[in-house]
Amino acid sequence: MKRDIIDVLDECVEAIINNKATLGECLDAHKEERSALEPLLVSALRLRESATIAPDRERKRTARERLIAAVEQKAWETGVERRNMPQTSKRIPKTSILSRPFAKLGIITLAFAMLSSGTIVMAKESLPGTLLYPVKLAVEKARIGAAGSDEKKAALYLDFASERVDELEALEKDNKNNPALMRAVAKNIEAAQTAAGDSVKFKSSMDDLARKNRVVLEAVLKKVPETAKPAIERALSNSEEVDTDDASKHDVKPGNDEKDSGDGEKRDKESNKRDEGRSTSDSEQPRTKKPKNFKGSTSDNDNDVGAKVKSSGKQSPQNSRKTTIWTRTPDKKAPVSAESGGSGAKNGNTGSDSDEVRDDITTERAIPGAKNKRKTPCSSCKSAPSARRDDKKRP
Amino acid sequence: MDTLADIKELVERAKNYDAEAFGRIYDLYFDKIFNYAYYKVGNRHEAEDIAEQVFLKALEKISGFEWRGAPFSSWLFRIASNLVIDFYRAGKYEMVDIACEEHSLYDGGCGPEEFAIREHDRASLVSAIKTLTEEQQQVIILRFISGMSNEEVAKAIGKNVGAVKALQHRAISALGKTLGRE
Repeated sequence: MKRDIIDVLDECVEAIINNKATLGECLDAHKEERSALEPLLVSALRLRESATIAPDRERKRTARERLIAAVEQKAWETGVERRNMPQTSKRIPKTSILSRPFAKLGIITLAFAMLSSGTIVMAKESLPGTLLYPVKLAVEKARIGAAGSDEKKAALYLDFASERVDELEALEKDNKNNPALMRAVAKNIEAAQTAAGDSVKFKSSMDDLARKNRVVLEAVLKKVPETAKPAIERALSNSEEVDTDDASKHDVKPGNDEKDSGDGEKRDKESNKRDEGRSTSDSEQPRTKKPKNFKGSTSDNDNDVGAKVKSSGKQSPQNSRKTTIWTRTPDKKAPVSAESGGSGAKNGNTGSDSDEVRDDITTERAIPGAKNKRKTPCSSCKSAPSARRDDKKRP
Repeated sequence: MDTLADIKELVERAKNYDAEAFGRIYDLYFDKIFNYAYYKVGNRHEAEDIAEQVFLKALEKISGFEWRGAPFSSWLFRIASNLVIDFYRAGKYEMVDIACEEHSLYDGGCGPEEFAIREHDRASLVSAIKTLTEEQQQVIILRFISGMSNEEVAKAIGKNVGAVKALQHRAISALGKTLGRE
């Protein structure tokens, strides 16, 4: 009997909840159970009628906004955004067969195998959406995997950030605000900062990148999630400080330099001393201060930098200084001054040739301001000592 | 829209952290979750906080969500249930004061007198629901306030449909007695 009233009650409740029957209709349909059913249905109806309550609209709206922001944040953190890039950065699935060390070895081997072919060279020039772009990203990943120290990783991440910036600029005509690419810029910068820690050399390279691409980075800053912003903001603010420093130094007369103190000034003095032993054209630039980043970007430890300087022909530190100044000009296509020419393989370059020199340099981050196009593969890096070593060998 | 297939598609997109899909899920379930939380804690502000946290928690856990026959809403209500338990564990219930509930003018659009009556009824109802056992509360809230079917409630609370019907009967009987005494 009790079982029956349970079922009957449920049947009536279902009908009342779904507005298929009224209380009276239910009671009429179950006259035998009416006495037991009526108080129950009255309570159920009361429950139904006064139950629903609406949340505060404003709070509901703000909570929704917070949720959406959190979802975007999560998408960023988990790399979903990168997967949304056109045919680009799908992660290579990990296989259970390859243990971590073997996987690393495999990646390195694969990278070398690819280096030997012309694919890698073509891939370097590829843009998002093209067939070879995934190859480019895979090679970048392999290079990160092969990089031993955090310092090298930081340098590579910075290179890749620079690459993404160039890709953004290249894609600008078709897709002005490619958010995935912008976030890739931020992610590489963030990864570089994480890997670099407090490295002075890295900081100077970071400043170069930020100064060179200030406009792009500012646009990127608006697009990336909150967690990625501090990295870019730091880069931008540091570069502003460096700009201010450089500007003030250029205003200072040579004679006043001696009154200055601090590491930067010491480096400048050392640099000037070295300058004195060099060519006349070099020594004729006493007021051309070497920026903070100069020392770092031409360090012996940074093979990439050395290779880059060599590939650009006679790239003495003075050339680097010149180019650094050039980078502050807004027009990236502006020619390098005549003094930045070289006597090496690309000696006598003017006009477009000098542009190519700039490209090579910028590829390796030592000299900001040039467009990042890796025109030459890293084969030149292998035999290239650092610029400073080259300079020391000079009479 | 909002058929099982639609919900499944939304959930799959949400698992890939699709902001639009998450927004849609939020729109579909926020009010129900809020109502559930409201009748569990008896305070509008706390209920709004809990409802918001449910979706943030869902965002954290959605990658591990799997379809096991229960509707997606059951999963959300389980999260809400856990948050309500946390709420009581934290001792926040001492702050609850139904009588102080304000600005409920949104629901109903009624006049001040009718509004006051409804608020009184609601406050009585919340008090009465709190006298029920935990399982009875779950069934009543999910069935009458969140509008779930017996099958959905059964999956949400891990019981069979017969047990849900029995719990519903006992809960309504108890509520009738409690409300009748007032």
